Amino acid sequence: MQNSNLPIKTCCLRPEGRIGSSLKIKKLIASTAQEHVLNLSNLEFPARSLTSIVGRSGIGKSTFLRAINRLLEENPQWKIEADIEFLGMPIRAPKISKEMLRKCIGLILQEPCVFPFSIKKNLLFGIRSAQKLKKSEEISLTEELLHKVELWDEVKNRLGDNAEHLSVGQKQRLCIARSLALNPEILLMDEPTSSLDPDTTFKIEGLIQNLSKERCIILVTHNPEQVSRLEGRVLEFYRDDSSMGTLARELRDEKAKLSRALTFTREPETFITA
Amino acid sequence: MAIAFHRFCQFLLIFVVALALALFSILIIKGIAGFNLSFLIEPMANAGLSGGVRYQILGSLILISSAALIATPIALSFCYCFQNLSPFRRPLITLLHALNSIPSIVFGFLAFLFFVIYLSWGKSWLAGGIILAIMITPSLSFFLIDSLKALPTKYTETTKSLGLSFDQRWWKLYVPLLLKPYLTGLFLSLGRAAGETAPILFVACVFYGAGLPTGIKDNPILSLSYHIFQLSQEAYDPQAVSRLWASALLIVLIVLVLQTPYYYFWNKKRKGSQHAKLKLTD
Repeated sequence: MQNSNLPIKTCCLRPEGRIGSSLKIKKLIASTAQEHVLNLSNLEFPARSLTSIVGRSGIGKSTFLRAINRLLEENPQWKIEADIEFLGMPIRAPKISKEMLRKCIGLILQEPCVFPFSIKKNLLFGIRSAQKLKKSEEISLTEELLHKVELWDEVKNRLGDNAEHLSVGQKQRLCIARSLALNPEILLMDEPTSSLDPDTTFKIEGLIQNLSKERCIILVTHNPEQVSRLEGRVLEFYRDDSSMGTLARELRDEKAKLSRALTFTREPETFITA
Repeated sequence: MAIAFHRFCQFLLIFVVALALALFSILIIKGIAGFNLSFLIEPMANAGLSGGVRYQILGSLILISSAALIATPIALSFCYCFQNLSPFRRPLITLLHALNSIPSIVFGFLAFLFFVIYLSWGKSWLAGGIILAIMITPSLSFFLIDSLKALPTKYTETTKSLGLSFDQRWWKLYVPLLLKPYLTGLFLSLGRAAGETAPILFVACVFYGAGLPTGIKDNPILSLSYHIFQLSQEAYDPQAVSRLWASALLIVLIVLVLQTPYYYFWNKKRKGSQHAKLKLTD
């Protein structure tokens, strides 16, 4: 397991390791004054798994991710009714603070967001705020994380440089490493490859596939080929006329997975009525 | 009609440029005569008719640095409140605007009532520093708040999703990012404070008989702007006039030097954003 030799204690890991389900969504209803957006129930995300979420744009995929790590509820215009269990504990339990929850549930945004500081400072931005690290621990953690996202060879000689000068793909990998530094149980990814070129996309996909062997990854994507390339479960967000908000269903059959995913991007309207 | 308006604008522009150039050249031509090393480093003698302005320069520096030290925590906490306590945003901005619109002479009068009469401090350099600090706080706060607003919103979202609490975000992200705008705004407002005469006239300054302060109560200070004010009262004496011009030139130079960081950082920021745009299109 990653960081095993380092005293990274931010994530409230269960003593027996990452088994069972990381996240259980019994009910999640999110709405604004204008419309019902999410109406999900009975979703389960096992530990060490990869779940891709597809669906047409505007259907609430990003909203779903932000509801899980409690970013959504900070915006007063959202009304949220949720019964979500993270590692068997309700995410709104008083025992676990918002900040603690977000350290355990990392979020990678569509466009990489690095701060105008050095690469190293960016990388350790989250973990430094969570716990005190010794100098030697910081050095070994930096190297380990950058190796993990295959960025080490590209930046090992310029860790002190401003991170804003990296390319977009490098920035995105840096962002993933920054979240991994906190050793999160779940990694939420909001279209992490949409602003990248194909080569970098393949790299990140490989990275996602590897990461899914050690933690739970929920990936929102718009790219149907990506869905077919990645192993793991595929959830589809959809709406029908009678439902109040977005529902979710699992696409089990591999072939159906691809063809459906391809259909909905090309002809969204026909798919919805079908 | 359009051509006439065009000509009118051109005429005004030329007029203003000519006026500015004339002002600067008169200042330099008249001031340079009395401007030498002994003028800068010697203390004043003979009621300003001979000697230099050493203590006036030091006094002005003490006044503006105490103003900077006092205004910094106030402006930063305003900025913190603006970010943290969103219901107070409107009242805070209104308050700052109101504070900004009070004329300096009124500040001086109020400070006189409070420090000199109520607290019976006499004339004190600290009272001058405090009143200058209150005067520059609004502009410094506006500068900080605007820079804070200009930060991308994704910074906030990212730091939140990394599990940072508000205070951690404030100290680890906003304060380091606000350092440059803070310095820029500070020097800009200090440039203004260095030239202010009205408020310190009541509470802090005397014309002669003061050196460096040794305490707080009854410790007046000399300052360049007040020196100019006093010398101009004796404008019939040619020696006083030459020193008056030199002092005027000196204070303009000090203000210019204080404002340099603003132009430097501002240009750099613009260049930086152009650089970023180029990179995006590549």
